[in-house]
Amino acid sequence: MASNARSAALEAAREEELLRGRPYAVMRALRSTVTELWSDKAGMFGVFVMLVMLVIAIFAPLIAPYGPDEQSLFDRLQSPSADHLLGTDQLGRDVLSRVIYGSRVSLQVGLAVVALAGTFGVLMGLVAGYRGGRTSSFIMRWVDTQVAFPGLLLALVILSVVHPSLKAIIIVLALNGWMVYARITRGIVLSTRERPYVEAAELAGCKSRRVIFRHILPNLASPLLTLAVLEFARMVIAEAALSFLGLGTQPPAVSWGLMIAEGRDYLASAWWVITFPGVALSLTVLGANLFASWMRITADPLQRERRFARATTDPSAVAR
Amino acid sequence: MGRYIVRRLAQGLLVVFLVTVVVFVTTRLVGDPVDVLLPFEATTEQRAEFEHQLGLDQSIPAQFWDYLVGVVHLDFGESLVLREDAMGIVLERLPATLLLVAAGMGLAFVVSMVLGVLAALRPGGWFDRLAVVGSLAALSMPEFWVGMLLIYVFAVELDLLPSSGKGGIEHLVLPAVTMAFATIGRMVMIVRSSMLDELAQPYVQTARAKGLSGRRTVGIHAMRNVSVPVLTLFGWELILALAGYTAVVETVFAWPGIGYLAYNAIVDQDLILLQAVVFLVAIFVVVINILIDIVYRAIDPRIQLA
Amino acid sequence: MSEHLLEVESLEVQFVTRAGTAHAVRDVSFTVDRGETLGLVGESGSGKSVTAFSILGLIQLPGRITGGDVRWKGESLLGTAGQRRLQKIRGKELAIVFQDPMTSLNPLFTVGKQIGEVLRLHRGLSRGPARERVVELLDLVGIPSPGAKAKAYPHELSGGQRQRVMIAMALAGEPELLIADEPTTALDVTIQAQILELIAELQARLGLAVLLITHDLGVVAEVCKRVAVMYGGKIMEAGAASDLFERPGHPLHEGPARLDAEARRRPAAAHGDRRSAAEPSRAAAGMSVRAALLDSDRPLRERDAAARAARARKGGGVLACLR
Repeated sequence: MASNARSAALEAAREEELLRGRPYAVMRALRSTVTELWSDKAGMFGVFVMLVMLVIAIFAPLIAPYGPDEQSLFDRLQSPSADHLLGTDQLGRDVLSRVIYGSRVSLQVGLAVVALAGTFGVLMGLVAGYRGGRTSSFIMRWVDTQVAFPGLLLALVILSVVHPSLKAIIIVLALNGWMVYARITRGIVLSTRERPYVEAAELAGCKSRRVIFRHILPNLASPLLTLAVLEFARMVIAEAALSFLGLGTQPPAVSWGLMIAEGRDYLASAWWVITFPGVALSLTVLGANLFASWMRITADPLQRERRFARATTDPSAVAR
Repeated sequence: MGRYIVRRLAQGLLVVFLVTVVVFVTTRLVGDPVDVLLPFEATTEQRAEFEHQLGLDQSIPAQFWDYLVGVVHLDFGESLVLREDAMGIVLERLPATLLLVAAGMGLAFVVSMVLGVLAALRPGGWFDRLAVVGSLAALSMPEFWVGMLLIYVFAVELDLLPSSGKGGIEHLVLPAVTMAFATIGRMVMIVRSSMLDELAQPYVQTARAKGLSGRRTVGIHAMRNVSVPVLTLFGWELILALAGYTAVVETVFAWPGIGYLAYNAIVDQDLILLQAVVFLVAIFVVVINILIDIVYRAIDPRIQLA
Repeated sequence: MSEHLLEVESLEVQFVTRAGTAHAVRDVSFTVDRGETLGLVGESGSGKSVTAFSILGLIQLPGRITGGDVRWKGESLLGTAGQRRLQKIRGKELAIVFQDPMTSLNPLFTVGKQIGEVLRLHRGLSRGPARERVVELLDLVGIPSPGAKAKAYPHELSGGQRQRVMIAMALAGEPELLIADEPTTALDVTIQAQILELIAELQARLGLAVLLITHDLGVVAEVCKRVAVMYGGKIMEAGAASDLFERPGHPLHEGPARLDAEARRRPAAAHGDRRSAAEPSRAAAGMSVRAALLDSDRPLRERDAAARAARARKGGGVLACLR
């Protein structure tokens, strides 16, 4: 049976790993992750979309056929054609090129907010979960209170006063989004701390830093990564919504939300001006969501087994 | 129970207080309030008079005290643009928003319950797969874009429904659908997965073994358990709708509610009006949060409100 | 009278999964007569619970009854007509007590309401009389202050009390056959004995027939006259309990050493051996039921943990296909 051969191969790999040591183990883990991803088409699609968006954002000047601000008033509101694959907008700018450049703001805001809010939230969660006592209850009160805020409206108020810049948008969104990380981190830390192996490590005299990094953080890695991807998706939409309301990216800069806002007045005559930036936006968010749901399954050992069990009998997966 | 509610109300008051503080700090201390509040071309005398009017020539604590006294009396001052009592304007617009939220969220609730349960009854079937893919796609699309596409298709191309404003029921359709769209996506996922979890529970087997019909087993025994996570999420969606989507959706459809009001206040830099909107929304958020907890307790006897 | 209360004849149950077909029950036949107690014994995964579930029509896809027949008072319970018949008698003439009282009760309804549901459905009682009958039933199964406990939610009761509630619920329809699927496994030792006593006592008092499913031979020896031993989906042996226990050289009497080794392997196998997700644990080959009794040194919890792991694995396989 195939699985016998597989387990023999696994055995061999394990022995080899012992001989060659850690780097090899890391490689093997990486390779098995990739094979697993390959067998899940939806997850694969998500990763593919995200990677493509990343490449497009980085190499925008090389890929885009026109500059994002190249106006040509003779070519206003042209429908999609060979010259302008996705048409032109009200100032005769190439929609494709603007969609390509627009990816930069979305990804920048998404990544920066996740990094900022994630770092702060996880730190707060770790402290709250590990310290306990007054510190913990103070932090969690803070989180509870802020969660009860009408966050988006406050963001609007703040941005309408400080005048939106990329930095301001990122900070305001991060201020609004760190609480989730803190809650989840604290929850996991609390539940892991009660596990016998953590108690054993503490009894054995491990320093608390070692306990946190060796025993608790690994449990946090996958749920936090999943959360980060989901939050990334949420933030990309939030930036677009802010830009749509005129409180996000300001013209001459390009962002998908802004393009949709600008195309609004020409909706009746030029559907392509709002459609394509919206498609790019939705695809990016969909990609992130698909990737996150794949990761959530992968992070859960039981679900992972089920998926594997299914994949082993799936002819398309065997064919690889 | 009573003590719990009192405590939650106190916490709610704290939230509202903090929101007003944040609003005060951002509008009065960040930058020059007069610059922010007055049009650019105002003369020096106008500025001075305006400062006096707002009490800006007083000390900060004195200003804050005046502001708080105003808030307690629901007196935020006059809207800078409309020259009327700000809270009055907001309250006048409130019913339109409540109507939209009720319609949109009501639609979202019914549709996602039906779709989610149907999907869970035959997991892996064609309907289930369609529901999952559809809801993933729905929750990935930004509301304002969906709204515009709907306008393009139903108002521009098919000329079936009006694209903006408030009037008869036909004016409500597109905004409500837009508002429900992403919520349906998220809720279908949760309803489906909680129903799947519950159907795998032994008590469902017990219900079948007792001789109960499939409909009663799913509709009463499993549904009650499903409603715990689903209602929690729904409460969150309500808050999101009131404190976020309204601004976007009402703007797209020029729906005369507090969200559109907030958008216009932002465009006109009418911060006094904006403060009034934020204050009212904050109160709604607090109330909904408390309601969620109470409903939660009513459904699940295991939850102790402490 | 030659008619048996319950006849199971050449029953075949398969789980067709993407990981292959598992024959959970193979050619199983037995009968239960009025008022008698049959013990169905076997290791976890031997197919005894699947057999019970098949009788009650609770097997869900991907599981399917592929052959044989189940007859209640001479009439088949399979097929379209049989299903309709079954739906009428399930919970009324034929009731079951599940293994885990912790999860088998709906956490969001009071105990009284859950028992009352049976009374209103099968005995046609209205609200008021149903409430009174619930209290009587709770009293019958030995729950102290039954009036108050009827208003309690499952989480407010102890494990033993919850199992008593399950029994009361099964009795509510006034059944002729009670299927008890490992009714004591999830309980601790002292409570186990009480529950068994209760079942035996009720049987004597109400003239119930009982199909007692267990992996614990001690239980069987105490309660049953007749025993069928299942292994790997088949009935390996059936007969009078006294015969089985006293005959030397029987596979039941195999050494405990082997059992220990198996039991230690199993939790690990739950993660490692993917094939078993779809198969009844044939891995537990040669598993001796008796050994579980002999081996009283090993704490009971550990034994149960192993059994539960195996069961979870089985359930996991089924679920995997559902999702």
